[in-house]
Amino acid sequence: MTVEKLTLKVAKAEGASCACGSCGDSFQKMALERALMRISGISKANFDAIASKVKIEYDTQKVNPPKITERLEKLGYRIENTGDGVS
Amino acid sequence: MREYIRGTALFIVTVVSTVTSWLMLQASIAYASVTSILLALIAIACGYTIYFKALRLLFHGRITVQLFVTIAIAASIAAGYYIPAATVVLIILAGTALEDYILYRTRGAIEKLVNMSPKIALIRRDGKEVEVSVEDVRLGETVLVKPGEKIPVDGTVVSGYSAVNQAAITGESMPAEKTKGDQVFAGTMNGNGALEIKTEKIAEDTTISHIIHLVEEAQEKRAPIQNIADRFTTYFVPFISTLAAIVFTATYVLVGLQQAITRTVSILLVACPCALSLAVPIAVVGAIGNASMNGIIIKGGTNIERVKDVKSVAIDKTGTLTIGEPKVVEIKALGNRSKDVVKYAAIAEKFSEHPISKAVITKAAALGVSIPDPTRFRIVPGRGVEAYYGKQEILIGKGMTDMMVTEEMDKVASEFENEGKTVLPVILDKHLIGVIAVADTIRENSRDAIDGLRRLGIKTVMLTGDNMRAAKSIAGQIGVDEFYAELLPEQKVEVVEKMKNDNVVAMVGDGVNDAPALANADVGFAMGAAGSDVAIETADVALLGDDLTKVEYTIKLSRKAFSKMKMNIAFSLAWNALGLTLASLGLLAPILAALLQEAGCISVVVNSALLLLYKQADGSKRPIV
Repeated sequence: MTVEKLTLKVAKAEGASCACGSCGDSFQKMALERALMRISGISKANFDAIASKVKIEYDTQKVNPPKITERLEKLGYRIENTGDGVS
Repeated sequence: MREYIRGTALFIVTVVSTVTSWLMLQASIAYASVTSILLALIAIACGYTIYFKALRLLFHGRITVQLFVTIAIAASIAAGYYIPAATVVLIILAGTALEDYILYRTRGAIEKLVNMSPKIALIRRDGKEVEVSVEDVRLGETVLVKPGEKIPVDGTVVSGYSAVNQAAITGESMPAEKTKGDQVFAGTMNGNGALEIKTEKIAEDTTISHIIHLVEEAQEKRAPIQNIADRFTTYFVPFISTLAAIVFTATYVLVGLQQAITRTVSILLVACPCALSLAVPIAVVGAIGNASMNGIIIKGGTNIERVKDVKSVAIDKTGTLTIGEPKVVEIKALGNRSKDVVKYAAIAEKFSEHPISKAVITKAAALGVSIPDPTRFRIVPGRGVEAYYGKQEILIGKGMTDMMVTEEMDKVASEFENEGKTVLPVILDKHLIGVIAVADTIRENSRDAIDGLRRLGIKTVMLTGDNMRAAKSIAGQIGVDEFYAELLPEQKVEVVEKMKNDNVVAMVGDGVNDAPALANADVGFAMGAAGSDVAIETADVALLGDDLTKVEYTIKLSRKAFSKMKMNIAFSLAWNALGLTLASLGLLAPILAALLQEAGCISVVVNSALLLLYKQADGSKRPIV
């Protein structure tokens, strides 16, 4: 079992972000993290709603980045870039 | 989960320390100045999540209400209002913790589905029974399921007999009988029999995983009405900033600095776009979550809005209103025993693959009749079957009897046909020995489903490829408003298109044979979709079980959800208008402002989350308010 880390910068494909930055964001955070954690092979998922970044730890033998990004896209997120070196 | 635990903990700390400080102040135990410093520290320390978030958002170029709250609290502390500052922090933390908890529970509806799937499977491998993790079961391997256990994989029963409760998938609580050759699903509950299952799908490929994924995706899909709410939220922050600036300046000039600060702080605290921006998404999540627990997948907010407007429903007959498998419903023997009639018919039909032949053979088996092989056998296309059993000639089918129509048979036949049954005369050595009537059975609750739709003011239209007489009979029994018979698949599309000229049309079918018509309707309902990934995937609404009354339920739920969305948006706007007016006029103290804000937000969240608890009152007998 090899665990790799992946950071993705994402954006909600449709819709404005909440002006309050509180409840609306945690509503998205909960949904996204849980949906990702349900993919077998993903052991950790953390969504930073403010920076729009998802940090994922996954088992390379069970799942791969294309599969993860596909799931993210189906959940209504656009992948902006792979997050490395981006603030 | 973590979020609201942390939120709650923080809240408790704030309550305890604020109350202690206040009591100390009241009892004059401590010097006022010491308590004040303590309270200020509490406000700063306990509210750190709010300030931290506000600053991070600011850093990312977003000015939000969190920043307003931070400014309001900073201003209060600066102006020496320590108790209000601490109390406001307390109120906001309490409100947020409560909201997060409700949001968590609303999102959690789907967890019920997730937890249905067992993690361990008992399999037969190399002649031994071993327990393995579900993910390690190989396709084709035999899984053993003991009575009362959950089925761990999707597959086909290879041996055993049991009643399986499929509520996890179909939402139907009546167990389904499963025996050799039947399809079973992971996450469903085995009854009193033991089953051996040939594994066809595991882990993430199973139907239940598929359903969970689709529900998660659907919950993220916006309802169009959200655009209305968004229009307000976009201008919210600039509007509040401007209002605060105007009120501050005006009050400062007209009344004085102290009032100016209080009023501005109240404005910043009472402003709440949360309610507005959450009003619709929570209702979408709640409604789709509710539907998923009832074996219904609604694909996103758009479909909730479309379903609520449905004025007529076109329903494909075969497999939807009826079970879709012909059965022998009556045997009329002329001079012989009815068992013999079935026996000869079954001999002749033994090697035919036609659904009607299968119905005859099933009936013979049910009557305990042994069926010897025919000596010779020939299908006469479109007419019937001709067979020999030893020296005896057997002819089956109306087309085979041109030359030997008797008055008696004619009478019986037309009687059956008027009832929508298919008639099979059985002729043995040129003599009519009896007539077998075969018909597709109407589902038990088809009539209830149609009645339910009528109560909602929805027109029902039956579509079928059957002949006019059969269609008329079934339409009459079920009570549909209109029917179209003798339709080819492409003609079904035409009928749907024509209906769409008048109003919003839903089409209900099995999602496989009538896929084009489903795709053409405003809303396509695929029924009995659990067995077909394609049907689940392509339908706008997938009914996983075979219960047609779920169409009515989906419509009611959607109407309810939409009215909640509208109600929530209107309420949020009114609530903000009220709060901002009172605050501008100096009629709202900062503490009350914070309370008002949280109360508004929580009302909206709770109102939408209640959709999860929405139920159809007592079957379909009573209309829902």
